[in-house]
Order: sequence, then C-alpha cells, then structure tokens
Amino acid sequence: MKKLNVCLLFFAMLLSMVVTAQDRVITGRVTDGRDGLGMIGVTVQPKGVKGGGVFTKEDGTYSVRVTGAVTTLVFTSVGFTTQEVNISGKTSADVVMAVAVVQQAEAVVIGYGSQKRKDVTGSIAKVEGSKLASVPAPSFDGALSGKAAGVNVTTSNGLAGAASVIRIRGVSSISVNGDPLYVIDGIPLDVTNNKGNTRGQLAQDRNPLTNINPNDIESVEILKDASAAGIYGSRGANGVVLITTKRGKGKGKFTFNNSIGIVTPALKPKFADKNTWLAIRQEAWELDGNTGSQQNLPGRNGGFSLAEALNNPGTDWWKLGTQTGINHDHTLAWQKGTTKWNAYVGGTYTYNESYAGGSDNTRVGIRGNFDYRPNSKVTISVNSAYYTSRTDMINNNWNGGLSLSMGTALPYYPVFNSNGTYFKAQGNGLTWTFGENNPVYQRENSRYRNTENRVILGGTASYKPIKNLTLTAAVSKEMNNGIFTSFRNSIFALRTDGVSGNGNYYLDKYDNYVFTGTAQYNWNIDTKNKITILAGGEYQDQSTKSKDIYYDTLQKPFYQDKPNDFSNTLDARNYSTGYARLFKSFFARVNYNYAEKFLLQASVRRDESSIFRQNNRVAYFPTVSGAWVVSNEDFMKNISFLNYLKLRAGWGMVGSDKIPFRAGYPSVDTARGNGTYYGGVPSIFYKLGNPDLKWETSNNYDVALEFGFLNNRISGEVGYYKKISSDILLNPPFTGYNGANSGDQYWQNLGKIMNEGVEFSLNTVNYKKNGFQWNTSFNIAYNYNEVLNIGGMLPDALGGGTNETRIIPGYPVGTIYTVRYYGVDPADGLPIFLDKNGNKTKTLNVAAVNGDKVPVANVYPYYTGGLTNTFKYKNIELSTLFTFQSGGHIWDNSGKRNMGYVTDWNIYSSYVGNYWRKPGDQAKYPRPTLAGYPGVEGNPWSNNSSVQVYSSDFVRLKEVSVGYNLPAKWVNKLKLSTAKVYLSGYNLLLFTKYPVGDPEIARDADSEFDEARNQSYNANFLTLPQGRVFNFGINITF
Amino acid sequence: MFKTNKITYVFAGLLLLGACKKLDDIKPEGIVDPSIAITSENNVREVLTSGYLSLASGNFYGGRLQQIGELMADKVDGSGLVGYDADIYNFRSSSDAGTGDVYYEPYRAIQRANLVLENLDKVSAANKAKFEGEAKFLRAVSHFELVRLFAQPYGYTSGNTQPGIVIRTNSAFNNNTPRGTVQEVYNLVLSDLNAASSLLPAANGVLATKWAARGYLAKVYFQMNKFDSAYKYANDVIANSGATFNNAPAFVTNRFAVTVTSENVFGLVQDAITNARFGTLRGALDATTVSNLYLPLTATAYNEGAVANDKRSAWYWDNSGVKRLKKYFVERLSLPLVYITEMKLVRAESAAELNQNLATAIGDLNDIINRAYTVPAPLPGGATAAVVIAKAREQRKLELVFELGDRLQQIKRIGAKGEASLSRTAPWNCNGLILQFPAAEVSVNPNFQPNPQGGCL
Repeated sequence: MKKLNVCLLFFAMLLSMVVTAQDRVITGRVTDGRDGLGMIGVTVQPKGVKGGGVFTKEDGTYSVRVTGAVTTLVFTSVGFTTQEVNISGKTSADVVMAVAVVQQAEAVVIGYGSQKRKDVTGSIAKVEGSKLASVPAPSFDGALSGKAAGVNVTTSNGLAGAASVIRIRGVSSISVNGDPLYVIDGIPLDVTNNKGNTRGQLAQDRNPLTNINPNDIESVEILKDASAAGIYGSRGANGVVLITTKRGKGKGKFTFNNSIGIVTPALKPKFADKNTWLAIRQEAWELDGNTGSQQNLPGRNGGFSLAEALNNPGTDWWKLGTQTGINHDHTLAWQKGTTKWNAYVGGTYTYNESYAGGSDNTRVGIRGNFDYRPNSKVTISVNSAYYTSRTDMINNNWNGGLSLSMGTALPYYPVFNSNGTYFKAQGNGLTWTFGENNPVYQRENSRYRNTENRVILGGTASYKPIKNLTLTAAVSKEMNNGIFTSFRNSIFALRTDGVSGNGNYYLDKYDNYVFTGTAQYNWNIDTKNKITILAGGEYQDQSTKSKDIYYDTLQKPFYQDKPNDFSNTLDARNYSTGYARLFKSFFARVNYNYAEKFLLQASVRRDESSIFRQNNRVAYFPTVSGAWVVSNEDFMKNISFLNYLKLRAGWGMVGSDKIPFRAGYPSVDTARGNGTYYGGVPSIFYKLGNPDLKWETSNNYDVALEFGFLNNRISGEVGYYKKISSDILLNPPFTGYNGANSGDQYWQNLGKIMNEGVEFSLNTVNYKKNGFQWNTSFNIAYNYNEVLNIGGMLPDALGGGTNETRIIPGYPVGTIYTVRYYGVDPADGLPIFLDKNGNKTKTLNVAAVNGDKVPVANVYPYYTGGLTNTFKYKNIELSTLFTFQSGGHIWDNSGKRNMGYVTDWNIYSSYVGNYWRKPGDQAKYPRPTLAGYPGVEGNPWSNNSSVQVYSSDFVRLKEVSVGYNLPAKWVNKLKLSTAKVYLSGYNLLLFTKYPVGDPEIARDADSEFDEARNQSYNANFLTLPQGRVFNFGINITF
Repeated sequence: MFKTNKITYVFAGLLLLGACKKLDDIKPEGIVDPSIAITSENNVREVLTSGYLSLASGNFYGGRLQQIGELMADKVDGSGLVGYDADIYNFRSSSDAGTGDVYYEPYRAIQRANLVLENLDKVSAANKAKFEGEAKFLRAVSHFELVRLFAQPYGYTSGNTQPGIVIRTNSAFNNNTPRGTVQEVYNLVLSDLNAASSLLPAANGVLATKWAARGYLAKVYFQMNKFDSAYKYANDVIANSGATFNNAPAFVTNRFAVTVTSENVFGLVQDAITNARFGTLRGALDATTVSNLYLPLTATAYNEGAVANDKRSAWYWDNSGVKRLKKYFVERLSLPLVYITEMKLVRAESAAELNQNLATAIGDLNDIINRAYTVPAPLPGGATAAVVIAKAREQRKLELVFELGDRLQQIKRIGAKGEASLSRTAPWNCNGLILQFPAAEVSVNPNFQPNPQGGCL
C-alpha cells in the first residue's frame, strides 16, 4: 500500500473550437430521437471543407458559419447515425438524431476505461440500461436474459428477489460457483462472498444484486473473452459484468417513472386432483394383490379410510399458497450536464410481490453521481448510493413452503383438524416432513426476512498534466449490513406455554475498500500510428463479518419487537470473519492502431492476493489480441454494400480465485479441543487443508468477424471461442484413510475442462418507411462443454448433492449419471432397466461401486439465445423478446416421488393415463404400487433412473412491451418535455415439452460453495415456476 | 476556483479509509496452523489424547466395531433389520453407507498417531519413548481392526497377498495410495507393537503400556494362527503384567464396571467428567437401553448361553419371546481391551494347538469353568489337545459374547486354519464376510481396488 503512488491528478475535457468567419450562418437544434431532448456536443460539420465545424450546446442548439459553396451539413455524434442535411437556400436546420443501429462508433465500457466499439479487439456484449429498467424481472440480472449471445441467464424461481444463475460461455468451474465478476462503476462486487447465507434457516437464497435499481443503470457490458476480461486477472475466468450507472447530461430534466403491475405464476404445475390421486392409490392397492377398499391412507396414525378421504372436502394447496402479487415501482431522477459539471440524482421506491404468498421485496434507494471540472485539466467525480432492500422470504423449494403442494401436502388433507388445530400429516417413515406437510401451517407460523443496507461512496479524480496523458485516482468504500432473521412462533416451535417461539438473528457486515490508480497516455506517433498505454495499480481490502444470535424465547420476529436484552446479547458476541481478502494488483495495457486498419492489444495483470498462500501468492495473466478492419482497406472502398468488416482474434489467460477462505490452511480445530480423555487430558483435532491451492486458470482463444451491410441495416458478429480451464478447484470427498474429521474438506487444483462454442448475433432494420420501422436483434450461442480430466476419479466421486449429476471425463459438466430406464413389461407392468452392458433387467442397481449407472444426458443446454423484434410507428413502439434454449436436460430429482410408487406424495398429471393397468398394455410408465417394485430397492429416494430425465428445451415469450409517446403538443400543454405510457409483460408464453412445470430451473444454492450451482444447474426439486408479470407504467420528463 | 492542493487533501483523506495491511495478516480466525500449533510437548500430548478418543469413539471400539462384528457373525437374528445394517447382515454391505464410520475412525486414530510420531522432536527425552510407544500402539491396533473387517483374513492365501487396507505411516494427504497386502499390514502391525512393547513403560496410568502392546501381540499372533508366539505373549502377560484373574462372584457384572477390575491389563476407561462415553456400545448392543428390537439373539445363541447352571446366563434376557443380551446393562462402563480371561483363552487354545503345556491350558480353562458355573464340570487333568481346543472355543464363545466382534474373527481364524467354518450359512472366506469400502475410497482413488460384492448366500 505504501508503495502505491498516490498521485492525485486531474484533467479536463473542455473542447475548444474555432469558428472561422465565413459567408452565412445556419442555426438549428439537434434533438435525441429517443426522448426529444436537445443534445449537447453533436458535431456539425459543413461538408466538403476542412474545419469550420461546431458542437451543439446544452440545449442542442447550434450556429454555424458556412461558405456559399456548402450545401450540406453533417451531424455526427458517437453512438448515433450520422445525418446529412441539405441546407441549400436555408438558414436553419433542425435534426433528430437516431441511435445507430450498428454501434461501431458507440462507446463501450471496458476494464479501467472505455473504447469505441470499432477499436475493441475482445468480445464484449453491451446491454443498454434502458433495456433493463422496464423489465419486471425479480432482479435486474434476470433482465439480461436473451440479450447477449453466449450469456446464459436462468432465473432460479418465481420468488421475489430471486437470484439468477449467469453463465458466460459455458461453465468451467466445478466445486466453486461459475458466477462472473460484477464491477459496479469500477468497484468489484463480490457476489459470492457478499451474500451472507441463510445458514440452514430453510429460506430462499439471498441475492445482493437485488439492491441495484435498474433505473440507475446506464449500461451493462459483459466481457466474455480473455482479451476483454484479462485485465481483471485472477477473477476474470467466468467473465466480467461491468455495470455503469448514469451520469448527468444535457439540459436539466426530471424523469419520473411509475409502474404498477400484477404477478401470477407463469404456469400451474400439473398434479393429479384428489379423486384421481385416490383412484390411483386404490388401483395400486389392488394391483399389489389386495382386495377391498383401503383403510390405511397416509396422513395420520391409523390412516384415513378411502371412504373418508373421498368424503373430505380436501384442499387446493396451490391455490391457498398463491396470490395475485402486486408490483409497483416509482423512480424520480434528475440530471443535468454543463461544461463545468454534471449531476445525476435518482431515488427509487419499489415493491414487488411474488405470486407465492409471503414473498415480497421492497427497495428504497438513492444514488447521486457528480462530476466537476474546475479547470481544463481536472475532473472530480463522486459516485454515491444508498440502497435498503427488504425481502420477506418463504421457504426454499426443498424446504417445504408452497412447494409442499407438489410434494407431500396431499389433496385430501384438510388445513385444520376439526378441533381447529393445524392438520399435520403423520409420517410413515418414507416421508418428507418439512413443515408437517402443511404449507399453510408452515407459512402462517414462521417468518424469514432479509434486510440489506448498502452504502457506496466513491470518488475519482483525473488530472491531465500534459496533452494526451491522463492520471486517474479512484477510491471507494462499500459497506453492507445484512440482517437476516427467522422466527418460529409458539405453534411452530411446539411450545407448550403457547406464548414464546424462537428465532435467529444473523448480522452480516460486508466491507469493501478499493483504491485504483491509473495513467493513460495516448501517443499519436503520426497520423497513421497511434498507441494508447494504460498502466495502473489496484488495492482492494474486502471482508465479511458476522454475528449470530439464537433466541429460545421470542414473542415476535426481531424486526417487530426485540427482546429486552437483545442489544446486550448481540454486543457481547464477537464478530467472526467469514471471508477476508486483500488484493494488490498491477496491470498494463497497450493498444496500437495502424491507420484504423490494424489494431493490436496486449495486457497483463499481476495479482497478489491474500486468498492464496505464500507459495502461490503472485499470479500473472497476459493477453494478446488483434483486429483487422478489412472495410478500411482501400480495396474494399468500392464495395458499396459493405460498410463494416472486422476480423479479430485473441488469446489470453484469466483465472478464478474462488478459493474458500479456510481451504488453504491445515489446522488444528480449536473448536473441538474440548474433548478430554481420562483425567482431563485435553485433546486437539487436526483439520486438513491444502496450502498449495491456487487459482483456476483459463486459457482462452477467440476469433470473430464483425460486419455491417447495406448502410448498416444488417450488422452483426459471428465468433468462435475455445476455453481450456485447468487447475480446477475441486472439493472431492476424500479417501477416508487421510484421517479427516467429518465435515473436513480438502480442496485441490485438479482437473481440466474445455468449453468451445460459436456465437452469432444479427441486428437488422427490416423495414423503414413512412414512419414505420421494424428492427430485429437475434442472437444464438452454441456451447460445447467437456470435462477433460479429473485426476482419475470415478464418476461418483464428485456427487451433485442428492442429484445424479456428475463430473465425468469425456462428458459435459453436470452429466446425469444414472441407470437407464427402458420401459414397462407389458406382461406385468414392472419397470425394465438396462444394466451397464445394455441388457434388460428388472433389478435396479444404483450402487456407486459395481452398479448399473451410465452417463445419460447433459444438463446445460447446447443452444441458447434470444430474438428481439421492435416495431415503431410514429409514437408507438412495440417490442417483443423471445428467449430459447435447446439441447439441455432436467434431472427431476423430486419427480421420482411423484410417479407410480405411491407413498404420501402428490402424483404428476403426466403419470395419469400413461401407466400400465392390465396385461398387454403398452405403457410409458410402470404400474402403480404401494409395496414397491420387486427388484427395486424399497427406499423410494434411491430409485433413480433415466425416467426422471426430461429435455429442458423451451421457447419463451420473455418480454413484451408497448409504449406510446404522447404527442408533443399535449405534452407541452402539461409543461412536460416528454410523456410515455407503456404496458409490459414478462414470461407471457412458454413452449416446452417438459410436462411437469417450468423448465427454466436453476437449483438454488444454500451454501456459497455449493457445487449444485454448476453441476446440478437443471436439477429440479419442486421448483416453483417463474412469475408472469403485467405492468402498466407512465414515464414523464420535465 | 478549487485549488489542486485542496483536492489532494480530500483524496488523501479518502485513502486513509483503507488501512494499510499486509497480505499475511489476512487469514481465517480460529485457525492455527499445525506447524504453529504443535509446538510443545503438551501439544503433542493433546494430539495423542485425541488418538485415544478415536479408539473410544462410538464409531470404533465404542460400539460400531462390535455391532458390525455381530451383524456378520452367527449370534443375532437380523431378519427384522432394514437399510444398510440389513445389507451387512445379509452379507451384502453397501459402499453407499453403513461401513463408513468404522472405517474412518480408526484412520483418524492413525492420523493422530502419525502426527505424534512426526512431532517427537518437541517431546522431552524423558517422555519421548513413551509417546512414540503409545503412538505406535494406537497405529497398530487401528490397522489391525481395519484389516480384519475390510480384508480377507490372514491365511486366506498362502502368501497373504490378498489386498488389505491402505497402510498409513505418515500424515501427508493423498488420494492415490493403493491397498497394501494383508501380509504388509500385519508386518506393520507387528513391528509397531514390537516397538511399543519395548518403548512403553510397564505402568502408564490408564494409557497404553508394554503389557497392552504384548497383549495385542498375543491377539494378533493368535489371529494369524501363529500359536507359539501367541502362547508366548499371552503367557508373558498372564505371568508378568501384574493383572490377576478375577475370581470374584461379581465377575459377571463388573467386567465393564467403571472401576476396572484386577483382570484389566489395558482398556478404554470412562472419563472422570463425561458419562456419555460408550453410549453407542450400549445403544447398539444392550437391548435394555433401546425400545426397538435391536439385534435380538437367535434362539440357538440364546439357548447356548442362558443355561441355568451358568452364572453368565445373567447376561441373557427373554423379553416376551424376544431374546436379548444385556451384557452392557450398566449405566457407565469402562471397556477392557486386554484382560486376563481372554489371555487365558488364547494361552489355552494356543497350547493345545501346539500340543504343549497342556496342563497350563487345562488350568486356564478350569479357572474359567470353575468361575462360571454353579456346578462346574472342569476338564480332567488328562484331557487331550483336541478336547482342550474344543473346550477353549466353547468357553471363548460364552465368555466373549458380543465383545469386540470376536465371534466373527474366530470364524475366520478357524477357517483360515483349514477347518470348515461358517457364519450362519456363509463360508468363512466368502466375499460378503468382509465389508465394502465407503464409495469415496473407490471413486476418488484411481489406484484403489474395491472388494468384490456378495457371494455368500
């Protein structure tokens, strides 16, 4: 730290201009086609002469002198289509600038800087903030879905604030998650270690990205390959998501956005109703060789009789657990930019309910971004934000809650017993007893709430001591207080006093300090040779701390009423450090541009991180990339239909440093040192640790062709990449002879994974005439993933928790490894499986050693993508987004309980009508049974076979929005600048063959290092479907 | 106009928000690196103590070892079992679960013993030999019990080249060691016990002594059917250890008493503070402490033991037709591992097998017979070796019922010696009489040879 040069240096970007006096003056105003506001800084250049151009002012007006010979003015602005206006015989010309369809000139945020799109040599996808703000996704990360090729976004479920799993160009991690690095205005946000898990309190996962107000986002850049992400070194292997918030520009204006909407489930999971369920169970009873009607249906000691169950009115558990959720969002922002300063201040209040009762998220936040340029050499910027977010959570899928309506809350069970107490289904030894199989009981008597208070304070100073040299220093401090509380009232805690319940209070503090210093020099050697050099250093000190309290006697949730000794008790606890990391890095990047034809970039980052131990503390990550802008070659000048053609290629190394904090330390476990042997001789226990752990390394290759045709009405990019990731961090169950204690882990750098893929994106202006415009954006990515090596371990070494997803060399990460289901024997209705050698058998052998399991299917889709169509007619705009995926599979882990082995679980509708009933039936599914199938082990949890594998292909109408910009004359009467009303919908249609529910599934992680995030990505366990949202909104500026 | 100086101050202030830290300062709390933690003789003692705790753990001598032994032997009726224990009973143990605890725990003892041996340089000269002896004793005992459960017995092949278990003589982590042969495992067990026998003092409180090591040498050689050595060490322990045959009428109830009897050479003791130790043993094998029917005796086993003339019939209990053993029916207990009764049984049978010292053998057995029966029928002075062997085996079965999985090991030993020997219907050397390794051993370690499955029924 001391070594860092703290030079605090400034620069200004005042643009001076010289206007040469000439013949006549043309005046006018340039406005932004999107909002009708004046645009500052548009270049107005008389065509055919050298010099003489001007910039527009704050309100978009300009005044330019032209010679008599000039007949045309050229209006250019970065990111907008250049316009030429005939001024023959005119003294004024107003121009409406349209956003360039092909954004070769647009500015793209890159690591520690920005570039013009045409100068970029790596793979970067940009998503405009305006494309995210209006999407009613549970969290802004979900709104990235379908918008960038190779960026696979899966929202985990339909709960409020639900996290999305984002995988960029496949998955290359196994035991640690494959989340990208998020950087907000230069501040790395560690999503993994910032989360504060719910510590087994059975509630859904926490998601720090929920805090971010999407209305504040200017753009999101996704750095996909090493050439782009390499500057982030040991954290770049899973890609980098750069989030840039808005800065003030133009004439002062307020933007006021209001929307209100309703949320329903995207679909209702399909299960047998009461009478069907009872009929199947009766049939199972009879097929098992019994006669008469059953007297021992599950649910209570002694059982229900069939007659009684049929007579019970029963309960529609799904209906009781769901609601029509209400959403509303109110954001007021003000912004202004002058030559001296600009400011953006945005405040938001958002309330989102899920369709699942009890799940909601409230967010209040304010952001202020200020820039001040005291003189031509200095710029000072401040980024500040405060967000508070409150999420009322319900139980995670696998912990009951609403999911029980798909599990063990049977349709003939009542909510209450006749005496008014809650009905609790008695287990039968095979049951799953979360919440006593009564979701109403569970929800009404337990509470989970997560509150996050996040403060971000950042300052940047830039100084331009000489021409072309910019020195920048940025410091930022980010703090988050996360408070998670759980509460079980006296009924749920089974207290006899009827008064007190119990609860947990978890306080998580996140602290992130970042200092970055950079120097950039633009060296224009001559008109053809240009070099840009960036060098910098970064210091990051990041830690999480936590305190836990458990109260055994609690009358109300902590957030309603704290016990008297609460503060004392909390204060008395020491914080325990969950995670801490100190980073010292240096990086450098050189860009060389030859005549706008050849581009070359090289970068290197040196990371020194406390997360690695001494032997591996320092790591270097180099990248090299280049591009040939073919369209700028002279020989291409005559090809008029081609506007832009760029070929680029790059190589680089990036890493992933998600090493668990303690994994590098062999240790003695003082916590267990209380055991004594005779006479009080104390003992200490040894814990394994691997001091040689290091980062995962990813070797990336990337080639791509960028193109624009027909006045850039057709543009796009096609690319190929290959990533070889090695030294993969693995946490295998280790061999017992190492003498570890139960619960110990031994992390290793072992294994190699390849990802290879093709990405294609295409933007077209299909039609543009008479005020009507139809644009299409299409992207598709193919990713092939293969585990190359896991050090000789067999498939069952790296289990997927309770799932049958495995890591097998020669197959993709998360290959389903199970016994093949062949079909049903028409003679007796029993299931037939295939043994290891492909021979039919009626014995299901799922043993890890000497069993019949084989690799069956991949979970990750091969193809993902999105299709956006935008139709504009005058003031009306209609936009649709379809997302799709193909080639992946769902491992339906809970589904084995919803089929023909009838226990006390609900039964899939897809089973009904498709099962064997009598000899000779050619059925898809075996006969129902209560006793289990001969040859299939009695424990239904072990009855895994490929009958639980489904294709996860789907096409989904993810977003629809219709907007109407009110005509200017109306708007002006109201003293407004613009006014827009819009309707938007989310998850409106779904096309899938998955018979059970929503195929968009991402297994939640209940631990931050849950391998299930990668390996069991598409493993279903009673997953709640996504929410369907209809929003109505008004957006005004004034 | 803002001055550059002022701006510098503002930013310098912001910079101070982040204190200057060294990378080495950032490490997990509550974690002590063993290279730092094991710095003193006391620390080494603490690690050694944790080794005894492993031995006494419910996963090992504290219960699971005995339970698994009985599941595979011929005294219990496991027909009512479900799950993984049913698999073990049916000679088809599963690599998925059920065999893990009894596998992991002895290796924990071994790991701790190896840590002690690697840190002997921190131990004073006065204690060094003792610590080394204790560690080697723990290591030997653990390997011995593991190899008997997870590998075919000594004598299964002439060179004992059948796969044994992974031999661990250092604490370094690895996932690729193959199994040693049974001969190699016994070599280590014997060399460790021999070393312990010479390093350890004759008295060492409740901890391992040279007599403990020699008692185990007797057991190991007996298991190997090496009767001369077995005789030698059993004889040595009986003659010289100072422990004496417990002839008190209360021998039936005080074998496991907290206060150890005069017979005990070495055992795992009840902690003065904790009274929870050996809860697993009582829970697993003492039918009176659990409400469900756990490991009831077969009628044959019950009828063999519940004989009115035999004082040991007090261990048997017919609970409304369900036959149970209540040998461990004491609230708190200590667990003898080497004691005179067993040494006498070893000495007697070894002598008879060698056809030497028959008088000593007969004397040993008559001590036991006279103690056990209200109206004893001792062996005549001129009993033949064959009669002595038969009597020794009979009394062993009765005395050591439900102790340390002895019944299963005797079935194997006698089979390996060349006699017909069955556990229920299963031949002594069938695959199902040894346990499957936990799945991780096989799936994680590419060099690990799994045990074949089943084949007993």
